[in-house]
Amino acid sequence: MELIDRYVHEVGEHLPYRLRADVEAELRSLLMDALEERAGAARRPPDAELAAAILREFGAPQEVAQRYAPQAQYLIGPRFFPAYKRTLQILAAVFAALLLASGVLSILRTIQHTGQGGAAIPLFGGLLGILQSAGFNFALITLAFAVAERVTWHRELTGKNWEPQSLPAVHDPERISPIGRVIEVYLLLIGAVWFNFYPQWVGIVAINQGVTVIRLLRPEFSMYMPWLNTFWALDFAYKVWVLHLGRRTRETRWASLGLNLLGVVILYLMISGPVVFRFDTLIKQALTLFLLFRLFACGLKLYRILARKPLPLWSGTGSAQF
Amino acid sequence: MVENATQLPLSENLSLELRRGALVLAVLSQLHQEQYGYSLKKSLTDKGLEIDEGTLYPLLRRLESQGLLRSRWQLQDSRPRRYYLISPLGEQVERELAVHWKSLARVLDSLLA
Repeated sequence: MELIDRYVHEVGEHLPYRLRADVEAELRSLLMDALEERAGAARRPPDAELAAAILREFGAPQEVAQRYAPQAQYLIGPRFFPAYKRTLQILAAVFAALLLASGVLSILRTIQHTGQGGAAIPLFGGLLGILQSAGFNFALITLAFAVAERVTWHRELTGKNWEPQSLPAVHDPERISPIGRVIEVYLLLIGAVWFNFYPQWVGIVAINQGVTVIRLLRPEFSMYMPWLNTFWALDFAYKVWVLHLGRRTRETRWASLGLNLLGVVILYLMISGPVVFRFDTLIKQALTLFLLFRLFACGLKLYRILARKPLPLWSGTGSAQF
Repeated sequence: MVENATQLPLSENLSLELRRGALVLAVLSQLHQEQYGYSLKKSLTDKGLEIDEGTLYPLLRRLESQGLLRSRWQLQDSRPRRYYLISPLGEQVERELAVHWKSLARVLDSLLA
């Protein structure tokens, strides 16, 4: 029943959570009925060929899912919404804690300051900054999930010419976790925005007579920004590509290796270049350790590419089991 | 040639639109006795109404969510199947739709004659 399981699973992936289990159970039952009937008419046992023919008649999984949930025109659809909601809940909790801590700290400092005859310390300045940051993060998370929604929706399993054998396995080891990729896209966007627009905030937070950021990047660091922006743009394209495919392939592994090597080159340029950090020697020692770790990761990736054999399931020769 | 190529999908689309409204009535009419999805499809096909699974099964769920059908899971031949039955509201809607259908058919017959 593997082909039918894969189909049912794929349809379920595109359904709202509340409908999923019920529709999956009914769909499986209907497909099995159809298969039994077809096999009886053909006077042969049910097999993958018959199953594939029935699945083609049922239609592409995403289109079938849309018929079950026709209102499914989302910015963030059912597959990603639970993770999106969970991420926002975590974000809200983090910022609520920050707001509370900032508020309490300001009040304590105001009490201490006014006790010494000083003026009250404005409470809302810090809070406003945290709220702005929360709004900014909310927008970036929404953007990352919306990108994932758009690039994964039309993943080759739509249209009249879709092929049941191309359905991913229910437990495909090569299948990526879209949620993990979305979080990576979000972190990438955060990093890129941070370095490009708020380099003064790249530093160490010190709480001493107020919260201050000890800036780590000297103005000369901007000489590496074209390199870093190229790297981030390529990394963004790579992540979107993998999301679109829905799984790792030999090509994506090579691309990942290439990106890692580019990262190593940029790190090397930074380490061997002029002084660009506030604590230059210390930071460059840390970057050297990181570079060695990245080199080791590249070696591991290369080994995995060369040692990995393609799965027969994806050979396209109809070897998928029924 | 070009004209034929463009007219064919248009006529197909219009036929589908014509059928779409009639399908609800056809389905309701066949569910005075409990049936599961595949048996209903067969029953409709046997009576000359071809309907693809991708249209019929979501339609059954929609009618159920509108209160026109009821459903229950039942284990048969070691396989769980969802059985559908018309509800009292569904019967009332079916009667009303049937009246409209017959009246529309009469008018169209006279227009096409």
